[in-house]
Amino acid sequence: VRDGIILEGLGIKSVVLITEAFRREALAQIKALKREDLEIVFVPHPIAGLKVEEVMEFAHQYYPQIKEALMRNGFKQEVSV
Amino acid sequence: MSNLGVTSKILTIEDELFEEAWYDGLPVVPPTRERVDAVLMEVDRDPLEIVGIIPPLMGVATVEKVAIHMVMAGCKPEYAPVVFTALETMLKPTFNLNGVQATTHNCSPLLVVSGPIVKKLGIHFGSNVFGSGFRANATIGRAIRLILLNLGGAIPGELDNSTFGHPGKYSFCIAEDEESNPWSSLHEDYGLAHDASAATLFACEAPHSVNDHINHHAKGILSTIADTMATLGNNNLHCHGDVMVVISPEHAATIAKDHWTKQDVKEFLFERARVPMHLAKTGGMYSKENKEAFWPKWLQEADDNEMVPLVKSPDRIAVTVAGGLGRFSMVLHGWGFGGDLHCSKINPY
Repeated sequence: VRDGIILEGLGIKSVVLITEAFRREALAQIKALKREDLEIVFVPHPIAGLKVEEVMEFAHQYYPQIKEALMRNGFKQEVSV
Repeated sequence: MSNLGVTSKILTIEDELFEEAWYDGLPVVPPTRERVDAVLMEVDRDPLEIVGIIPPLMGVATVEKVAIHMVMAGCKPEYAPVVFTALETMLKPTFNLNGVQATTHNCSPLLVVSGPIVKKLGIHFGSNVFGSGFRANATIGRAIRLILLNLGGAIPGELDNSTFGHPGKYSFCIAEDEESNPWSSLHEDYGLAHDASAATLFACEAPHSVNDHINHHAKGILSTIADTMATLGNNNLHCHGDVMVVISPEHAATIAKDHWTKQDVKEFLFERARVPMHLAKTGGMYSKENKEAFWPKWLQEADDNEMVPLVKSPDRIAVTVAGGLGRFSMVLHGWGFGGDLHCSKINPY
């Protein structure tokens, strides 16, 4: 969440990826930091420990959602995996 | 009124505090107006003055709220300078308290108090120093924890996602043994005057025991300490940061007898507390990203016999003296992504 806020502060359009296990914590942080405007995509837990090919599979699976969120956030360029 | 002198009114307040989860799992002292005012009298600051914003939930810690937590923890009012200084130190951006509070790692901020205030307040540095039995240690550490819980929102299972935590998440406060310390005090190593009182904060794991009953020379004892430091599973190996070594008075005396300075100790531990590359690659947080971010450039990854240091340089190994009789010392590994040692002068009110 904080990385997303920092990137947004630098003018870099961002989507925050949160694993489902941390949904409650992320939402609490967003509320506390008053950044309900952040674009978030929730993904399955865990990511840590996945092999590279598993992460790639994961990226392809969530690419449409992430792209949609980025575009919603004002990202203008084409996004690809 | 019961035969313990507990009024029904107080029991009601305690019950309410439990209901609202304003606690660490143990009963708290009800923060009555009178008790809170006694702390405020000691502090002599505007009760509404903001001490800081506590992450991750960004709760506002006013002077009065800190005083309330001191009462709930069982602190004497005169402990206030230590609690306030510790809190203000942890809130420095470079400490990354947000990360410390929310990480899955088990770290908790350890407070090491040093200087004349140790004796003045009776903060314990001897036998069983990391254990129970000493009001100042227990309640100062607990006040900090209650503030982190209630104002920071680091509720276990909610915003505190530590996989395990450790017992120091109830209270984690020790003092340095000035008389048994043959070297500079901890706070002198961080730029403060010898006669200053100081609060040193370090987010770290629970202490790990170093047993050395057979060596009666510096190199032997420090080799045992180095071996205990250099494990595959600690965070320092892959993320560096700081590590702390608490040397017992007996071990310290033996090391000093051989004319080893504190700098000698740090340099020896830096050189010897290492893990061979072939082992370092097999676990922990070994990754391309971590290697690039933390490991020194001179490390030859292709060389299986290369020895990987735990920290970037000898000065990232903090050395202090505490503990009772016996030939044990303690090693405390850090988190690596924040919570590194921060030392502040305690200004008595």
